[in-house]
Amino acid sequence: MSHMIKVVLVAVACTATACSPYVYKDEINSFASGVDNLSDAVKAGTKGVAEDHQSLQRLKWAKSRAMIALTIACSPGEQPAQNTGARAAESVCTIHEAAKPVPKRTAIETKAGVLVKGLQEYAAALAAVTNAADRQALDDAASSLGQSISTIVTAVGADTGSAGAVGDLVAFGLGTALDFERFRVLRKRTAEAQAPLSELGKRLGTALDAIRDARVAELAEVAQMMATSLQAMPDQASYAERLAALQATTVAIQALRVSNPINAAQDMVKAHDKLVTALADEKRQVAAVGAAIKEFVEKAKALRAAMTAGTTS
Amino acid sequence: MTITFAEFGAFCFGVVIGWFVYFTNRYRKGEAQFSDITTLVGIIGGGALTALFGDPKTSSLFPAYCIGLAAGFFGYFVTLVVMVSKSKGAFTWSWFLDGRRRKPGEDEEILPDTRVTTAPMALQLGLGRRVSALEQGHVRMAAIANAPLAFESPIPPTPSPTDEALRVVDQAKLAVEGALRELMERIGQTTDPVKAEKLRDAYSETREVYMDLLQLQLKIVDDSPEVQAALAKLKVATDALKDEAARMKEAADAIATAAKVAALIAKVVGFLAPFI
Repeated sequence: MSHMIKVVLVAVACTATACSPYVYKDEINSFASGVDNLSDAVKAGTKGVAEDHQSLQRLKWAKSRAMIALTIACSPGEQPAQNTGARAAESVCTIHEAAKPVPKRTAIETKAGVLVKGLQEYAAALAAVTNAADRQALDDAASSLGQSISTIVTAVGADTGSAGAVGDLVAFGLGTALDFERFRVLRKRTAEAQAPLSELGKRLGTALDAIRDARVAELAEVAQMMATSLQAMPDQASYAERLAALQATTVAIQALRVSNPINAAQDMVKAHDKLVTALADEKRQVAAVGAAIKEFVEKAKALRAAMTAGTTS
Repeated sequence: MTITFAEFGAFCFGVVIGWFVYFTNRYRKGEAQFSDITTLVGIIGGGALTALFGDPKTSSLFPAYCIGLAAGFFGYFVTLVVMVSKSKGAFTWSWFLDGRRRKPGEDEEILPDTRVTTAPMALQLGLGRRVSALEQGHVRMAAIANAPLAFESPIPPTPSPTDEALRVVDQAKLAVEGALRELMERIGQTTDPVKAEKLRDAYSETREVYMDLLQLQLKIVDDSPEVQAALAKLKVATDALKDEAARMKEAADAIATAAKVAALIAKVVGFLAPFI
């Protein structure tokens, strides 16, 4: 009887591996890291635009030797008024040119972070379903249960061989049933997510492209101001320092110009499409999925690096 | 036939286990869960314990336990039948089939924290029973529907309002980008400082316009109904995947609990075995 049970186990295993959710574990983890890179690119890009904007403002004030004042929010004990609209910037302690409106803290505002957060949560949920660590925990628990049952049966003098084999079969059956259910849900939900992810990828690409263009525009004028101010540097050391900063700024501009946020977002969509196709295909297409995801991850990393770069001296 | 004290004890033990198994099945939520395995451990453990007190092949303790198990299990059901028959019409036989009952009267209420039964009898098949072939067909059809067309469609799809708005902004951006390029070129070619300063001021003003267009582009994307709808649909898939990921952990926890119970029983059995 034990031999029969072992044969059944092997036969079921051969069928079960075709429906294992763990086959694409590494690819899905890479996909999740690519989405994280896009999220970092959004954060770095919007932060970079804000910093570039402030840097440009400082250069303009330095050039004109403007008279600078503090906002009323800098006063001790003063409760900042909940200003809205054009006066919202006065609610925080900052500097501004005297007798002129307080400049906006950021050059652009966007909710792309919310959009990419939805994608991150989805990618994390995919990674959780294909996580093999909890499967190992289940196997360990089932093994412990099987041993305990064998001990009980041994103590009452029954056939331990059959008890052990039955225990193994129950443990294997439970794990395989859960794996099959996981694969089924993974296949179904990725197919459902295909259309919304495609839409979000398209819009995220547009948003990242706009953020990239904003950074280039701000840095271009910063570089203009630096170039203009070179002749006014008091000494050679200051001139060299300003020149080095100018060159670093042009390098950052070039890195941003050659990055392609729309392509990075499109590659994310393509990689997900490959995954959906592979899950629906009985033959499995691990190599195709891996290649598509690798391309997406590389572009996302490059975009993140471009958005993070840039001097704002 | 006389019944010994030991047999009566084994019978009562079985009644308790059987009653409890029916009780657990009656109050479990929805689909059968892997945590129900703990009730099986109770049944198996009970049987093993009776085997301690006599040779299972010749002693009548195990049969008495089994009879008690059946008596307890079906006794619960019989009790429900008796209570339904004496409910003065509040419950009828149809309650056993699909749980329907009459609404409580005006002077009656069911407190909100009352435990809800999922089924008075029979197994809950729930929504977990699906036809695999139909599901696979759904998945394949979804993949085909989302795949690019193999031929050029003669009629281009109508652009959405969002796409149309973004197209208009893109055209405006192209125009401003052209102006910025020209200004930068003229700044680089002039040696007159006054003229250069005026060109830089013009560049700065044009850049402000460009930034306004970029902000408009971002706002169109942020507020587009397509993005909101897509986020909502993606969240549904995300939540379903999270629930599925949690099931494996719940199953592992349930089995670990069952293993602890079984280990405890094994210790008791191991302790008592030398004395039998």
